Amino acid sequence: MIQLLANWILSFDILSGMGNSVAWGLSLFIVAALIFAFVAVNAIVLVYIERKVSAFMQVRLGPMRVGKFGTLQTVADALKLLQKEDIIPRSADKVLFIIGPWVILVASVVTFAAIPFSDTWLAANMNIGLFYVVSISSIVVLGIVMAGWASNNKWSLYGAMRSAAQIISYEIPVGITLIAVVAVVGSLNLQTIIQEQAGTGNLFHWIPIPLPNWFIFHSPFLFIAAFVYLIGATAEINRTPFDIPESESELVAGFMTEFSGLRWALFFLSEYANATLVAFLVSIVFLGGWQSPFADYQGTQIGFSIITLVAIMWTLFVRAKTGRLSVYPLGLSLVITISAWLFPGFAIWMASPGIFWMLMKAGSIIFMLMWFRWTFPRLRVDQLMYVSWKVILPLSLINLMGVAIWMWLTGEIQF
Amino acid sequence: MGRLHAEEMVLNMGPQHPSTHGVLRLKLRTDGEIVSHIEPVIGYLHRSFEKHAENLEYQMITPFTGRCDYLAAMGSEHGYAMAVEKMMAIELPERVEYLRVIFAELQRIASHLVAVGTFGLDVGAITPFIYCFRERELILDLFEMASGARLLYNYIWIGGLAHDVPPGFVEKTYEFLDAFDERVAEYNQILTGNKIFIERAADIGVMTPEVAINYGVTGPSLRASGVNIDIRRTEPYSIYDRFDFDVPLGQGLQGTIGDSWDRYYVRVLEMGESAKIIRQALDQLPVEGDVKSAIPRRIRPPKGEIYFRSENPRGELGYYIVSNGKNVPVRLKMRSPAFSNLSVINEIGQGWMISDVIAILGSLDIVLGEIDR
Amino acid sequence: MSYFSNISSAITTLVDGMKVTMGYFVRPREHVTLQYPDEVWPIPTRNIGVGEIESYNTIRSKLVVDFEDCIGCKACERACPVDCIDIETFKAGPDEDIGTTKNDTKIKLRVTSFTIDMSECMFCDLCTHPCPEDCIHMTPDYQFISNDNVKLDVTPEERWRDRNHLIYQFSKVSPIERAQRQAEAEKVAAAKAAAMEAKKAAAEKAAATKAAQEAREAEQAQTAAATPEGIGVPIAPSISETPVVQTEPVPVSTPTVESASEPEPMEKIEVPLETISTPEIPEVKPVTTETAAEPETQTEPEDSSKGETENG
Repeated sequence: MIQLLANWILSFDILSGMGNSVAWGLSLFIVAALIFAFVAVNAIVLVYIERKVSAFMQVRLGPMRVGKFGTLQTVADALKLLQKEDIIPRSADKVLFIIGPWVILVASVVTFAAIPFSDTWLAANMNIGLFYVVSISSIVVLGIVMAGWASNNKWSLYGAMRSAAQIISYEIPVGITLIAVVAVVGSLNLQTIIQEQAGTGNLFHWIPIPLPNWFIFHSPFLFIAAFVYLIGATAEINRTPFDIPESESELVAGFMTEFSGLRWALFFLSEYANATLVAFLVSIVFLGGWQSPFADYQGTQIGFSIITLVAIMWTLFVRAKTGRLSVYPLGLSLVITISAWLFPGFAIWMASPGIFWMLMKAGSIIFMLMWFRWTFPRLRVDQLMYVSWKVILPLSLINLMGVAIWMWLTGEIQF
Repeated sequence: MGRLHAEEMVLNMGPQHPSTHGVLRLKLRTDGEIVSHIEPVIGYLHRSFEKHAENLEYQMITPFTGRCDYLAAMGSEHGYAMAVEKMMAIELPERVEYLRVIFAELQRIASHLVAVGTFGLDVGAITPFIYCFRERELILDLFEMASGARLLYNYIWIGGLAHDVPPGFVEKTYEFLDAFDERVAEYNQILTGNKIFIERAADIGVMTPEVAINYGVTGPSLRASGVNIDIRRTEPYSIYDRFDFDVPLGQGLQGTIGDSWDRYYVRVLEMGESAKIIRQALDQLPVEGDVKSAIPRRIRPPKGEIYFRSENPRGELGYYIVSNGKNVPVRLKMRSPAFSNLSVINEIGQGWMISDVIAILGSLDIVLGEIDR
Repeated sequence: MSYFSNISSAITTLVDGMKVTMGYFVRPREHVTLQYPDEVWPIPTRNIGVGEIESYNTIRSKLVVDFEDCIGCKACERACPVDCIDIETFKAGPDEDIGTTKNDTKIKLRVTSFTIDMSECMFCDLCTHPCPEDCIHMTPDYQFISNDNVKLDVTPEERWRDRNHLIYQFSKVSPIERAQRQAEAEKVAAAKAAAMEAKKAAAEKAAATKAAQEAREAEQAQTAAATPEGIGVPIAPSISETPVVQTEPVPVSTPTVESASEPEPMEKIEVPLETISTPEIPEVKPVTTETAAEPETQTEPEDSSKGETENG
C-alpha cells in the first residue's frame, strides 16, 4: 500500500520531482497517520457502541443527550479527558509513569501495520505477518507493568502483576491455536491466509452443506480452535470475564488507578485498539478476512433468502414461547433480501470482497466480546490460570494434533 | 541459597472503595494475593442514632430508625414500633397488622434484591445488578404509593400507620407479585446457575454453624450455615404465626454448607417465601379498620425496659429501650444485625484471596448505616 | 470426569446467561430509563382522604405552608425532629383583626416569621399531621433548583450562605413590621421583667420557693388524676407543662395548641386538656415572662420533660 501510495504521489506532475525516496517516506507517514486515525476514531465509535450495547442489555437507554441518540457523547468525553489536569502522583516514578501509557498505545497501534483491511489496503505485506502481530501485541504487558509499578500504588501493583501473569499465560494457547491454522496454510503471511479461504466448499469437507471455505468450517478442530482463540484473546485484552487486572470491584481500577486525563485516555484507546485487533485476527484467521461469504450474486440472493427464512422461523418460535414479537431481526433481513433480489448491483457488491466484509466480521466479533462482558461475572486469579493451563492449553494442543490428522485424512497433505 | 524473605503487606481497602458497600475500611494483611488477617474499621458513617434517641420523643425517633438500615427502613420502623407498643401494651387493629406484614415483607424482597444484585456486582457481573434494581423500583413504587416516600418512609407509626393504603394498592401489589416469580427465574438463569459465579462463590468463606453462632451472626447468613433460626418462626411476633412459609436453609448445593453461594441463594429463596407471605396477607387483609385508631395520644411507655427483636432482612434487629415513664427514652440501644455479621469476616475470610474477601463481604450483605448507627 | 462435566456445565450455563442479555438486547423498547427533564416520573395519586388539600395526597417533597390559614400554634415546630421549622409569633393587639382560617378559626397571633429550612428537612411528614388547620403540607415539588435569590432575613451567622436559598420564608409580614413587633415585645417584656424583679425582691426568697414547691406538688396530683389516656401509668409531672409560648404571659388558644400535636380531631380531647392546663397558667406566668422575647421555649407538655431529663 505504501508503494502504491508513493507511485500515486509521483504520478502527479507537480510532485514528481521530489524523488522516489521522499515520496516513499511521505506515503509512509500518511499511512501511519491513517492507521492512528483509524485507531482513534475506532475507539470513539466502539466506546459509544459498547455503551449502547450494554445499555440495551441492561434495559437502559445509554447516552441520549449529546447529539442525536447520544452519538457525540464519546466525542465530548474525549474532549473532556484531553482538557483534564495532568496529574502525576508525587511519589510516582515519573519517567515510567509517563512512558507506560505510550508503550501500550504504540504496541497496540503498530500491530495494525500488518493487518490487511482488504486485498490492497495493507500497510506492510510481511511474510511473517501473523508472527509479527502476535509478538508485537504482547509488548502491551510491558507498558502495563511499567504503569502499575510507576504508580506507586498497591492496587496498581496488584493489577500490573495480575496482568503480566495473565497475558503471558494466555500467549501460549493463543499461539498454539494460531499455529494450527498456519499448519493448514503453510504460511505466516496474513494475505495468503485470507486468500486460502476463498470460494465455497462443504462443511468440514464431507458434510454436504455449502458454506464458504473459511477455516472455521475447515474441520471440527479448527471450529473449536476459533472459540479457543476467542477465549484466549479475550483474556489477552483484559476484558470480562478475564478483566482481573482492572477488576473494578476488587482493585478499584487496577493499573489505571492513578492515571487521569490524557494518559487514562491512552489506556482506553489502546484497550479498544487491542479489542479491534483481536477481532480482526479472528476474522482473518478463521472467518476469511475480507472475503465475502457469498460466491456470486446468485449466492447472495439465495444466502439472504435462507437467512430470512431462519429469521421468520425464529420470530415465530420466540412468539410461541414468550408471546413477544421481536420484529427488528426479521425486518432487517427482509429488507436486505428484497433489495438483493431487486437490485443485482447490490447483490454483486455484497458478493465482492472488500473492507466492508472485514469490518462486518470484526464488528460481530467485537459484539461477541461486548456480549461476554455484559453477561459474565469475573474469574478469580487462580481460576484464570486454571482455565489457561488446564483447559485452554490442552485443548489447543489437541486441536493442533487433530488438524494434522484431519488434513492427512482428507488428503490435503501426504506423507 | 538463602531463603527468599517476603514481608506481609498491609492493604488498606476503603473507606473509598467500590465494593465495601459504603464507607467501610478493611485493613488487610496480605501475602501476595492471600489475605492473612482482616480488620474492619468502622465508624465513618456514625450519626449517633442512639444519642439522638435519648433526646427525641418516641414518635420522632421513628424516622431515624429508618435511616439506620436505609435499605430496609420499613423493617426497622416495624421493629421499633412493635417494641414501644409492647411496652405500652397497645392492641393493634387487624388491618394494621396485615398491612405492616405486607410492607415488611415487601421491604425484605427489596433489600434482598439489593443484596443479590450487589453480590453479583462484587464478583463482576454488572447486568444482574441492574435487573435487580429494576424490580426494586417497582417495590419502591408501591411504597411511594402508600407512604409518599421512596426510601425512608416513616410510615409505620407507634400504634398504627401514618395513613391507610390508597385504593388500588392491593391490586398493584398482586400485579407485582405475579410478575416477580418470572424475574427471579431470570436472575437464576443469568447469575445463580452461572458456572463462573458458582466458582467464585461456592466453597468460599465457609461459615460453620458453630462460628456463626459464636459470632452472633443472624439472618440469612446464619440460616445459610444450616441453623434454623428465623425469629418470624421461632418467636412469632406480629401475626407471622398465621402464615404458611418455609425457612430456607443453606444446603450446600454447589459446595459446602455455609459458603458464600449458600448465603446468596438463601436470599434468593427468601424472596420467594416473602412473596408467598405477602400473597397470603393480601388474601386475608381485612377491608375494614381504621389504621390510626390505636395510635396513642401521648406516647409515654411505663417505667421499665424492654428488649424486642424482630427479623430484619439482615438478621435479628433488636431494640433495647429503657423508659422512665417520660415521653423521651432514657436509653435506646439498637442491636444491629449487620454489625454482628460483619464481625465474622476475619474468621471466615482469612486465607482467601483479595477477590474472595470481596465476595465474602458481599455475601454477608452489610449496610454501613446500620453498623455505625 | 468432573473436569469434563465442569467444562460442559460452564459452557451451558454461560450460554444460558447470554440468552438473557441477548433477549433484552433485541427488545430495546422494554427499557426502564426515564429521560428526566423531558419525561417525569408519574407522581402516584394517594387519595387517602386527609384534609381538603388536594396536593397533600401525593409524594412527600417540599414542605409548604398555606400561610393564610396558619394560626401560629407552633405544633409543627414542636413535632419536627430536626428543628427545621422556625416560627416567630406575637400576640395581636385587641383591636387588630388578622382574619380567620378556612376552618373559621380566628387567628389570634401575628406570625411575623415562618421559615422552613429545606436543607435540614428530612421529609418525615411528622409536622403535617398535628396541624389543626391542615395548612402545612408536603407538595410533590421535588425540583428545588432555582436561580432566584430568595431574600431571607435569617441571620447569616446562623446559616451557611450557600444554603440560604433553601430556607423558605412563608410569613407575609414585612420585615419592618416584624422589627417593630420585636421592639414592642422587648419593651413590654423589659417592663414586665422590671416589675417582677421589684416584686421578687420584695418577697422573701425562701417563701417563694416553698410556695412554688407546694404548687408543683398540687399540680402533680392534678395531672395524674386528669391523665386522658387509659395507659394506667402515672405520667411524670413537669413544671413547665403549660403551653405558654408567646411573649405575652397569657397563652392564646391553649386547647388548640394542645390538640395540635394529636392525630385525633381536636374536639375529642379539648375538654380533658383544658382541665389540665388551665389551673397552671397563673403559676408559671413569671417563668415565661422572663424568657419573653425568645419564643423558642419548649412548651408542649411532651417537650417539657425533655428539659427535665436534660437537667437531671
